[in-house]
Order: sequence, then structure tokens, then C-alpha cells
Amino acid sequence: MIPKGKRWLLFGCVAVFPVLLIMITVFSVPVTALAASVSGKLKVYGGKKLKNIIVFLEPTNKKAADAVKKYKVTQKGRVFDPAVTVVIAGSEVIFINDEGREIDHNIYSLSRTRKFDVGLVSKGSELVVDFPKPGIVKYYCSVHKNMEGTIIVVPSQFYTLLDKPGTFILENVPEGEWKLNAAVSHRRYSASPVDVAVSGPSVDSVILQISRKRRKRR
Amino acid sequence: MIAGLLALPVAVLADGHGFDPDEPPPEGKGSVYGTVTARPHKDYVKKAKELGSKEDYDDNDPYAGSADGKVVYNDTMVNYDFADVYAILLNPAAKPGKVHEVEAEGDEDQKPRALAVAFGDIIRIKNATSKPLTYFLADINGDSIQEIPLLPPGGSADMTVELVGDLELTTDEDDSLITAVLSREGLQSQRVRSGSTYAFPNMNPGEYDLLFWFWRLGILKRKVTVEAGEHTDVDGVLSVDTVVR
Repeated sequence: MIPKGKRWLLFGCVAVFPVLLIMITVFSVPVTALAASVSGKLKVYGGKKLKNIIVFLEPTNKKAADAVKKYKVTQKGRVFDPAVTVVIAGSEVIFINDEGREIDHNIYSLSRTRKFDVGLVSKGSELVVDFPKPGIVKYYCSVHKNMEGTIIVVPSQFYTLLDKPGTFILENVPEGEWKLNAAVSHRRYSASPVDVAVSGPSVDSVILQISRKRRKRR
Repeated sequence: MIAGLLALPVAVLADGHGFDPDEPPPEGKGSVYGTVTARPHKDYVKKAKELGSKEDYDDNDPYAGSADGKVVYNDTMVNYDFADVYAILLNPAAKPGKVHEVEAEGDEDQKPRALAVAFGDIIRIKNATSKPLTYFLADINGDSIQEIPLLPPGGSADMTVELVGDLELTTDEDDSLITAVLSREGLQSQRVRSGSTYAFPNMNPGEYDLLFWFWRLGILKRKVTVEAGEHTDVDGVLSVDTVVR
């Protein structure tokens, strides 16, 4: 039974909800319509044949990524699978001990991007770690010497993994100001980020350069 | 006989370089000493001790258990008993120029795996692989980098450390050849086997930063005050549960 004085409040909620729904629908249509593709070519200078490069877009207004997800990394046969995982900032990774026998693991990271220690993980356990900010996180098992993995945290859901330098395309990118960048595992190489303004159906022929880092002292 | 000869350098390393805490320090000086140990996660140690000893374990056994109160390791595990750990004292009065040797022995094999150096120290690099290598030192948390010219197979060259921070020494051609390098100004270090004694004798009185480091477990930091006529005892335990907080 709802008290008399609060019935108007309830009516207000019921009445406002459809209006809100219509407003959300109306205002979300143009955003979808303005989603564009960003495409171009990734070039590497310095003669190196780099592999497994992640091309990604970062919003320049630093707004948190919306499309956070849950990812899984299993431990089986004393290895992490997959060894490299790309996740969107704000997402969670579920570490699952999927060993066939009673093998315990202790997963931890000393990375500045995300330091963690999940404690001892027994067979069948699932432990969740969140990754709130972009960067590269190397993690290990403190028990088993050959167990190490990498999580690459990208700032948005607009990314693609290239097995070698070449063409790339990022779909359904909302309008706005973005920075196009790339993550490379080889410490000698880094990308020069490119500003990308998305306002039409597509942004084509963007050149993203990766080059050898120059000698730079502190 | 051979085993005895091989054990000698380890024994020398393990006794804190001849340091005796029962002997008073020279007048006006003090010292810092202690033991530094790397061990598995405390939860693992607890479980291994509960399981106790097992006579006939092999590498497929999930646990090798424990014996005499110590964790027993199999070949799939990180053997913390054999970990080379560093005790490091940051001493502004220390002079750089120490020579550290690094050798690339073959594909994906470079020794040592970790090196603590002072700004201005020298890393003597030997390329014992069959391919030319371009060595560089990179800050893992930034863009700073330094390099030496291409090193032919069998060649050797010196690199004077010009970077400070958490670094990696690797090559353009093969980044699986890797040495973790911890570089600080005024760094004095001793590399000892886990569970062994370290010692920094003949120190001027004052406050110092003391670091314990095992590349796989990170750094444990302590502040230490050296007093004239005193030996200051500081032990360090490196483990995931003591380093990651």
C-alpha cells in the first residue's frame, strides 16, 4: 500500500518514464547516424618487421570508455591462455584456474598501470581484477617460472590488432575529436599519435607512423 | 672437488663479503647489514607446510610440499632458494664506475637476468651469439633510451649508464635477449643468494635508502639510519605479499 502523500510521486515517475524513453530514442538516433569509420595505413620506419601491433583511438576529452566488458584468462597446463589480452579501460578480467589437477597459482603484477595480487588460486577458482586505466600490464604466477602474460588496456572500444604493419579500419566511431595511436611491445619503437576529427561518414587515408625511439636522456 | 671449487664463490658472496658484526666498526663509521630472502607467497608457504614432505614427487606433482619447515620446489616452479637478490644502498658519497658484465649466449639467453647499477657505471656487453646485435637501454616507464653501435658476433663493448630508473637492456634485433636493469644515483649493491647476509660497512653516519630487489618480485624500500660505532641490522623478505600492497 502506497501512502497517499507519495502517490503523486509514483504517478510522476510513471508519467515521466515514457517521455524519457522517447527523448533517449530521439537523441540517440543522430549519434548512431554520425558514427563513422576511420581507416588508413600503419607505417614502420627503421627497418624493423614488427608484429602484433594494436591500433586504437583515444577520446581527447578523456571521457571514460563506455563499452566495458568482462574478459577471461585461463590457467591450464601451467600457462596463461591467452598470453596476450587486449581489454577496454574500465573492464574486468576473470582469471580462471582451469587446471585438470589440484594445481594452485598466484597471479600478480608489479606494473604501474595496475598492481595486484590475487592470492592463492586453487583449481576451479575464478578471481576478478579490474583494469581502470590504459597501459600495458605484465603479470606472472609467483609459483610457476614459465607463467607470464600481458594485458594491454586500450582507452576505448575502437581498436584493432594488426599482425603486421599495413592497412587498418576502425568502424562505428562516434563524431568528435580523437587521437589515433598504436601500442607496440618492442621497447625500441613507439607510435607518433595523430589527431583525428570525426564528423562525416568516414575519415580515410590516415597515416600512423611507428619509428625507432631517438636517444633521449632524462 | 669440482663441486667444492664451484661452491667457493657462492660462499664468499653469502657471508656479507667477510663482514663480522661482532667486530666494532672503524671510528666515526657505522654499517648496515642483515639477511635478504625471497620466498613464495605466504599463502603458498602455508599450504606447502600443511602438506608436509613427499618422498617421490616429480614435475607433474602440483606441490612438492615442504621438508624441515622449508618449501620444496620442482622444476616447473620458481625456486626462490636459488634466487639472486640484491641489497642496495643509495649513498650520495658513492663513486660510480663499477664494471658489470652482460653476455648474450644464444637465442633468448642473456645473462645475468638482472643487474643493479649506478648512474655512471659501465655495462660491458659481450655478443656471444652468431648474429650482429644493436644493444640499447630503455626506461620501461618512459621514452628515455641510450644505445651503443652494432656489435658483431664475438664482439664486446662498454656502455656507460646515462639513465636512472627501472630499465631494460635488450637489442633491436631480438628483444627476447633481456636484462632487467635497476639504475639509481649513488647506488651501492650486493648480489647475494636468497637467505644470505649482505653488509655495507664503513658508512658515514646519516640516513640512507635501503632497497631489496629481485627482478621477478620488485623492490622493497626501507629507510635506515647509520650511527657511528653501530652496526644496524635490517632484514628484508621479498615476496608478492610483501611487495604488492
